[in-house]
Amino acid sequence: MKRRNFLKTAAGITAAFTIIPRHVLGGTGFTAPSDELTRAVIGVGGMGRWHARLQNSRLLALCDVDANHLKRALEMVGPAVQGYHDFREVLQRDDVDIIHIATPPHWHALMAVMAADAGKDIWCEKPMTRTIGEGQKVIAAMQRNNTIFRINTWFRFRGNFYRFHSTVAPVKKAAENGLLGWPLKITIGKHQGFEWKFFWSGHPVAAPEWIPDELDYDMWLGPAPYKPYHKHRTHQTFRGYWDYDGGGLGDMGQHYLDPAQYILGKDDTSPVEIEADAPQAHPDAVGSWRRIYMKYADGCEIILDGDARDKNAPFIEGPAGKIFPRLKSDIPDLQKKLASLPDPQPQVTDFIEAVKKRQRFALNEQNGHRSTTLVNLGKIALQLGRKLYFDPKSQRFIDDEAANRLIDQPIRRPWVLR
Amino acid sequence: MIKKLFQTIFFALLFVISFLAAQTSAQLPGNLTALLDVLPTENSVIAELLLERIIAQDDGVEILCEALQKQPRDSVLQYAINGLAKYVSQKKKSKRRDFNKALCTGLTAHADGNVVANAFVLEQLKISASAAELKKIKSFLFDDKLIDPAIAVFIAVASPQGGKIILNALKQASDAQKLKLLQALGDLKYQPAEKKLTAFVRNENERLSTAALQAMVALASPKMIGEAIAFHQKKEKKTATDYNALRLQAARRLIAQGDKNSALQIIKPIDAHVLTPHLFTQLLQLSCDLAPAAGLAKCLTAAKNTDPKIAVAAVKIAAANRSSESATKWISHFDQINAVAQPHTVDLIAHAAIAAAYPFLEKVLQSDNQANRLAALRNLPSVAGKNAVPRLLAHLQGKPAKKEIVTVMAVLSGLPLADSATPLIAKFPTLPDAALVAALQFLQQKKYSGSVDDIIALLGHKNRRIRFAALQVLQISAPAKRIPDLLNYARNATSAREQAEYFNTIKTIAQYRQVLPVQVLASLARLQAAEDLAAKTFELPLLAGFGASEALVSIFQLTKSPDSKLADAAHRALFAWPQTNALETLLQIASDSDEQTWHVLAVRAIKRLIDSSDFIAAAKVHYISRGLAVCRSDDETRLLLGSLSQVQSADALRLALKYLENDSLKMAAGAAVVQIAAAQGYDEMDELTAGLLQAVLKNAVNSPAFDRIESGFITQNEAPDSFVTLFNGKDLSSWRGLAADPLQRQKMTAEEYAQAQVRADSSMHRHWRVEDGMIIFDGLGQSLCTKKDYQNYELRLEWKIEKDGDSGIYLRGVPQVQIWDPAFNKGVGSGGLFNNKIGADKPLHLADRPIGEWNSFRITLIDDRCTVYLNDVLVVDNVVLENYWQRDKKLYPAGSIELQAHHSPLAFRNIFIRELPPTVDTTVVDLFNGVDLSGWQIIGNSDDSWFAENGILTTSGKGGGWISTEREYADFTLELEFRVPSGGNSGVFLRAPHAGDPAYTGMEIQILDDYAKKYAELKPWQYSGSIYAVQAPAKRVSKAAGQWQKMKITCKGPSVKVDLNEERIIDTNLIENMAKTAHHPGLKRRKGFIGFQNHGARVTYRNVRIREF
Repeated sequence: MKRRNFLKTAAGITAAFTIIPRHVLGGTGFTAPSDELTRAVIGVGGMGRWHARLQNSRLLALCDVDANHLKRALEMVGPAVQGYHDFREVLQRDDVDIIHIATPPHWHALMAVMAADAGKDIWCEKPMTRTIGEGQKVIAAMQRNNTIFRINTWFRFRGNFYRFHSTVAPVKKAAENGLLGWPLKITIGKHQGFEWKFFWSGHPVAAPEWIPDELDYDMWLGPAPYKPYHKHRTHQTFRGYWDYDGGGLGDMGQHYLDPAQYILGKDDTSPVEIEADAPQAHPDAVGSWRRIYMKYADGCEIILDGDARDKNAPFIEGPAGKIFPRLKSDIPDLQKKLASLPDPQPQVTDFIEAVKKRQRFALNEQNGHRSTTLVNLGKIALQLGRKLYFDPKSQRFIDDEAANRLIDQPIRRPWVLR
Repeated sequence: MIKKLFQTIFFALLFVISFLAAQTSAQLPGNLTALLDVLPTENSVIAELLLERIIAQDDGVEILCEALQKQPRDSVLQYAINGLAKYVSQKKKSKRRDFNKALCTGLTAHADGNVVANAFVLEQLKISASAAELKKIKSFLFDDKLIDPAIAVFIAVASPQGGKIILNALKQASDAQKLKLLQALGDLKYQPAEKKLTAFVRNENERLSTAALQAMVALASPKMIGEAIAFHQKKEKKTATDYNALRLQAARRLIAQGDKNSALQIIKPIDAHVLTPHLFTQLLQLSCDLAPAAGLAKCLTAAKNTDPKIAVAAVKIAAANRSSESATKWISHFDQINAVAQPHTVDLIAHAAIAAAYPFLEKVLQSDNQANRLAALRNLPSVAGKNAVPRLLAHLQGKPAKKEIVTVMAVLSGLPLADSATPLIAKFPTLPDAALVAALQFLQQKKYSGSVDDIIALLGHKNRRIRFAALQVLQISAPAKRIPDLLNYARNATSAREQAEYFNTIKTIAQYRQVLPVQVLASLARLQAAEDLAAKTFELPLLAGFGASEALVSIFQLTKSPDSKLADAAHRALFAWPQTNALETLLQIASDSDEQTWHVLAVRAIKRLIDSSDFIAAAKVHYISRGLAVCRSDDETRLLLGSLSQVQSADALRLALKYLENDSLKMAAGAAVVQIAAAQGYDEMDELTAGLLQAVLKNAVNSPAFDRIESGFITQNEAPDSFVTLFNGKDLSSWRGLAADPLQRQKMTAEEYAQAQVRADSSMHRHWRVEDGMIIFDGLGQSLCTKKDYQNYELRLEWKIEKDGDSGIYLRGVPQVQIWDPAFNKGVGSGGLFNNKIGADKPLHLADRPIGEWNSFRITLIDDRCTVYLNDVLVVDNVVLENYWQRDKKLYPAGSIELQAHHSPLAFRNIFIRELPPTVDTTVVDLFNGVDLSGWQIIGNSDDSWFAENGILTTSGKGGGWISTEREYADFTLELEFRVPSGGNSGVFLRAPHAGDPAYTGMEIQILDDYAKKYAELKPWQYSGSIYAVQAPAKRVSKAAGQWQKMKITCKGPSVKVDLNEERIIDTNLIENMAKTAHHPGLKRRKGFIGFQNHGARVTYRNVRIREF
């Protein structure tokens, strides 16, 4: 029997209420996990193979709906690792501690919720979710299951921020201690990732093609609306379609927006105004854009400069000064001033430690949802081509029904995300 | 303001466009076409203006929808309709209503129309629809192709009317549709569905029953849910455990609705002992939500669980519901709590803001559990307030572990430095060494500038790490006046490294304050006075470190000191001098010193200072030239020529050229010349230099230096336009070893060949190498082949051989375009097709360059004809290259290019190829040979029902059936001619199996006498050229019966195109027709047989040709 027929013959999606590992632990006899944690990777395309190569936990299983991807990844990791076509079978394994989700974004929320409801901890690729509504559902699932969750971006706690030639820590310190005054504006330039990802525009008119034998296209689509297959819609180039992601902004956005949110101290809120300057958006294919502007209630702003109008980006500015790449600044003795100020709160940055000690990871479902929301707000502004007003508390747009319909997008049956 | 401006420009623009528009699209009214021509717009302002105009148009939206049915993939129509949907969604209700109405009208009119178009329209309704439109799209809930986008509209609109419609739809729907509708009711949380859902839980179909139950949980109707679960469990014969997750989910919904009692009822049957850890924590959370006091007690118990997942979750749940009383309990139970959860418990207690928290932390700090101590340390600032710093510091005094020291410093880092610095320094005497080092590093990071005395005092500490850490702090904090103190310490330094560290600190202090401190000047004075020799020796490196001109003369004097130790130190101080102001002094030493060591070190110091200087080119050349003048050995000269090669100026070039004549220096000089000239560019050179350079290059021919010089000027191995390089100048990545000739290869299995290739590649790496942008062969191994096979191409390459050398270029694996030394071959030159027996085997001219020089080949190979230019002289003119391996056969259609190994060393470079298209399409194959039926088989009839005569394939017309190819074809272009008799009927079968009616199990392109009376009433999709029963021809281009007609069919993936009599009549994508596959499964087939139908008429075919993709 072909693997893809499994679903049709086996119980199928709705017959199982919730995926719970078969092995149920009883009473007080819970067994402590061994020292080495185990993981499975779902989606083993480019990023998935990166997750498969990680050495910080023991790899038990790989899963992909493309038989070629799966075969290639299995060859890479050796015979001890089991391959799967259907991620729900992976979630059934009670010996897997951590699920790495490296699928396209339209699957992230559903898989994260199902994995959490199966008692797994989660390492999820960015962007966290494809819509704001899905992000809220992920938060609920992580909370109810006490899941340890992280997103696979790290600039808020490690590594030089793109083109800034410095970590974000000193900037955070300057912002937090009022060296720049308030409110602040962060300008992010096109050379921070979205420029070289602009080629992830979709093809507005792509004639359908035969689905390749190795690909279970229906499962690849999963919760996404059914559209006839064209190879450009899938591997590597899927980000060019709103159904699955949002172009370079979707791909790279969380990388540069999450640190911006961290610097501004907006981990628990969202902007109130969003505006995009872009050509008219196609309903299906993602295009390019010139500028995206976001403003928080206290006046802090984030600018995404898509056509390199602002020189020296990225930079941060406030009424009392600016900081440019390599920490160049118009504030005299900035570095010395920074040194004497209290450091920002330390962060939990080792995911494996976090799982073992059950600590909340530095970039988790809560603050991660807010930075994903920045990406998703940008996407909605691009799609609708009008200025939007957002209520960060209710997480709804004010007086714009069409925009609100993009917050909770229906998913395709028979998948259910509640 | 801006908007107005746009408006003006826009209308002007529109005015112009409307004149041009009429002919752009025949289908739409001119004014609509004009508007559409501007889509997609550059920005949203223009978009709005434009869309407003479309809406204002009578029936504008209807016309667009109508057009979309015909062209569902027209992106401009998509931009327009989608733009409108977004636009009206925030406009006046009437506009939105009119737009939605138009969409719905279009949809209803084409309910069986194009699925892609209808799905698109439904997606737009997802944006703009209001509850009023839902009943109009109800019918799509029963359409398997469109139910998903239709339900999406219902979910997006999220109105009770929608719930009602879906509820009613359940009556008519198929089971598959019911499943989706039940799920939708759950998502809509449509309470009135409750009864119906309860009924569905009783449905025999397990998937429906379960979906209904899940929907009920989403609604969480308090009365019915418990019963429904019980019923479902009984019906499906499951255990209570299977329902735990569902019960927990229902309880959460009920609590959200404020119905705690029902929630309590629903979780009552749950046996906590069989829950998985994460479900157990869900239950714990619910318990806290329902009854906080009892819940917290459960948390306390759960925190003692051996599973850290449960224990930590319990602490966190309790922490979220924290109360001061419970915090006291947590303190008293602390020791029994799971070790992993204890640090979290410390957090909980610390955040509870109770008086007992501080004593508790104190106890933890003294405990032997490190993880807990760390947690306590982290929490000290929030609990202890002002006492936090002293308590943190006190913790450093014991025997803190490294992690604890790091944590204390991290916590201090998060507090203002003003609060921590003074107490920290006061603690210095009592701190253990590791803590003291960390404290000093902390102060350094904080750029702390106080307490200099205390820190200087640490320079006397016995621990070197502490002394070093203190020095780092002092670099920032010590004022210049403390330099003497540092000097004193420096004198007692225990190692040269430490002394250097002191000197570095002093230098940093001085530089930071941008003064040459008086203390340094005082040292200087001491140097000049004939005083303490030891002190002088000691201070010399320090002074040198400043690079001050004041010190230079004095130190130079000391190099002549009779005291050898002092002279030695003075020399070394000068050689380490950091500034270029020492160059003169160094040149003098290099020139005058009798001591060879001093001379050598001086030259090296000169080089170092020149290389790192920011001198302009002229100054560099000046000093290099003077340096060269004092050199005493070729090694030294080469050293400075290296410096020279970095200078870009004509002077530098001239200076380097001088050294080319010296045999032992010409390599280095050549390299310098090349580097300078290449960086500078020939054009910028003055005539004198250029002339000189050329003369040198000419003389230097055949020397390795020449190759280097030349390659500096001509960029090697970079392909000219339209060529690709076969050799990147760096490695043999486009090449492989010769494993076997074509004949041998034919006899080998794939495995044998692979093994032979491994051996050949290993041999290749032993005998072929890359050097200076050339491929070099040592004369011992086998030939080198391209990894890729090539068909037609133009090949360019350069080669060089030695005296009596021999080689050749194999084309498509066949020998060869000859390379050899004419002097040893009766004066016959290179370039001939040496192995030809029929055609010319010698070159037309002797065009070889002298041995040792580079020769260029330009070889063109098209089909089996070869043309060769040697050094731009035509030596082979369009001659057939004969197949050496199989003399009776033509040249192979493709093969690798090989550089022949023939026992002599060789060099190749600049190997480029431009592939040329095949001249004759060899991939077109005759399916019918005109003579007999070989390649064909008859299906469903006797073998004599088809026959070949006079180049024509004919059927008797009796007995039905069809004639099929013997093999299957997937993607192809099929060309043929056919002739139908009056009233005749036949067809071309494509991708057909041999079973069933190939018109449906595969597909058929109709062949018919379109003009026969009996066919006058046929459906459009039954005439010639149609994909039978699927798609009608775009127009009627068939000829009268009895005439030959031409047909060309292209099947590429799902795309099918048919040309009849040179006109395109079908251009379709089968995926658009998947709705028909129930009756017409052949549309899904990706390959199959090709054949002709015997449909009772004497139809004839000829010139049946196929080209596969």
